Amino acid sequence: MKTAKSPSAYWQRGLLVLALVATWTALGRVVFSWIQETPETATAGDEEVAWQFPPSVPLDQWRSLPTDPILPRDLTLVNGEDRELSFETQQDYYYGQGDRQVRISMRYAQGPEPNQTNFRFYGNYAAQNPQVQIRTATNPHGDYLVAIAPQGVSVHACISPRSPSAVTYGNFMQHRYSYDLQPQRVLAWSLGFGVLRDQRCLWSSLFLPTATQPTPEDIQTLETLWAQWKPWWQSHFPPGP
Amino acid sequence: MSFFRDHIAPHTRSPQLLAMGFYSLVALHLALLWQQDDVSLFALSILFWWAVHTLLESRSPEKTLVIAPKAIANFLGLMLLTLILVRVSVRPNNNVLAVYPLGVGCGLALLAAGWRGLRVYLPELTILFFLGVPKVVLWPLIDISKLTASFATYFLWRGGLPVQQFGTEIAIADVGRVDVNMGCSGLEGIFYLVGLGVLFLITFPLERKFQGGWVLAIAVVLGFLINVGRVMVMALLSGDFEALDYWHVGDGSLLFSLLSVILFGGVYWWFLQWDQRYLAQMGQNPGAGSEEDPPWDDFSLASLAESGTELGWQDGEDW
Repeated sequence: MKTAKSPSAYWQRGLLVLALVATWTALGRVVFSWIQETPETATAGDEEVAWQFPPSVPLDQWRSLPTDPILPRDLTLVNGEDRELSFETQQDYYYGQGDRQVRISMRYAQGPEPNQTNFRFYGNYAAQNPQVQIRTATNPHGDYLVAIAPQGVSVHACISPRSPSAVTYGNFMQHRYSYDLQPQRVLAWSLGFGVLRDQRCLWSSLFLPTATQPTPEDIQTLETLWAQWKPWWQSHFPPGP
Repeated sequence: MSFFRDHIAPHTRSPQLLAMGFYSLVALHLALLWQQDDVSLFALSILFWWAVHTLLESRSPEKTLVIAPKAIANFLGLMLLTLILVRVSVRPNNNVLAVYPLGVGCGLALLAAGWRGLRVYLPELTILFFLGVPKVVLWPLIDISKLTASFATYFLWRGGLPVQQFGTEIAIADVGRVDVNMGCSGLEGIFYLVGLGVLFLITFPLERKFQGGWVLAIAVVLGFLINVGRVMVMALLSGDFEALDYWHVGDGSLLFSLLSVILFGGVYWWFLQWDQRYLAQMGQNPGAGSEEDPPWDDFSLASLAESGTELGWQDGEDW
């Protein structure tokens, strides 16, 4: 089977030369960029315009309220103010229906670090706040946390662009592997566009305050609102990296 | 570079080209890592590339394959190299550079020896796999930080400290609290030592292959425990931000990886000595060890790779 004299050996040599030239070109580029001392990431960062949340989101059967009707900002899990978290941008939305009011806090994070910290906060919160009753619920759009305290009920989840919502980092990462690794995305990635594991996340906290312990109707109302809220954001997601 | 001409690609009649390709790709990898300021991967890469180079050089002519170039495999190899080169030229990052060695290795193997190249160069490709792929692919999927926190809490409690654990947080009364995040869970150190273990096992193989399983198990346990120690130190220092910084991201954190590498290197050296003693005993009393040979002695990667080489040796068919 020695085919040293076959013509294919010649084009194999051609392929090798091609690979070699390409490698040297890339190597030359790196060396050249050292001499120039222009980090490539700097130019990419300049062009980026920070994404902003839309001022309002239409919801069926809920009227949008201009200001926060809910004071004070209770339930740490809802407002997350004692967290040292890095969000790119954030926005609160207020809605009313009958005598019920809802505050929805949206926070945008991308990359492993801030998302890990956020999921971590969910995970540790239950251990440190036994007075808040927390359960994980699931609807066709994914998992979400329901936190029930005497002050009200809240729903929390991380919305991803093309996968179900998640409340644990493990779940979130599993979605990255099962929903993000599509052939066209892998091809785009190998050409330098986008990232393979899209770790953008819209952290949503929906809070419905109550005067007394929340009733099952209160909880039902908020979960219905969530089922409407999540799909809207999937089609209005911030542009990817 | 003569080993390329003599052993690896005699059929291509362009062994110099293949050798130049290999070393150019290594140079590009190191240059990009230097540019990315990824010092730990840079140092690790030098070690792993050096091991691959040594393995290639030590390939004996008897185990060398002579295979016809295979059009589809060669073309795929070139495609793979092209995609990688485009990717690292356009937007290099640490993750891409961590999988770069394996991709480049597969590409070159396909170019040099067709499909069979992947099997022939399994030892080299295994080493390159462990250089960065587990960290990139598996690390985000496994969260052992709660386990790390539990171990650290237990040891601190045995040390008589007023310590409490909340999920992944460790709180010491009157000192402070630390949160074991995923970056500190110790998984990175475990992958580091496992990769090193695989490298040791392939470059300095043990006579009794099943010992490889123990080496890798020790790598996991040692990597985990040393990180538990690091977390304990940080929990004790959680009130002092400057000291915490030193041990967390500063030079202090390097001391722990240095310690783990030295300890693990010592463990492997001990395994090698043990192996030597075993061999000497076997020499005095041949046949004594035969019943000790377990049926799963081809567990180790080195032996796996070796059998692959021999398999590929027998005929010239493509698969």
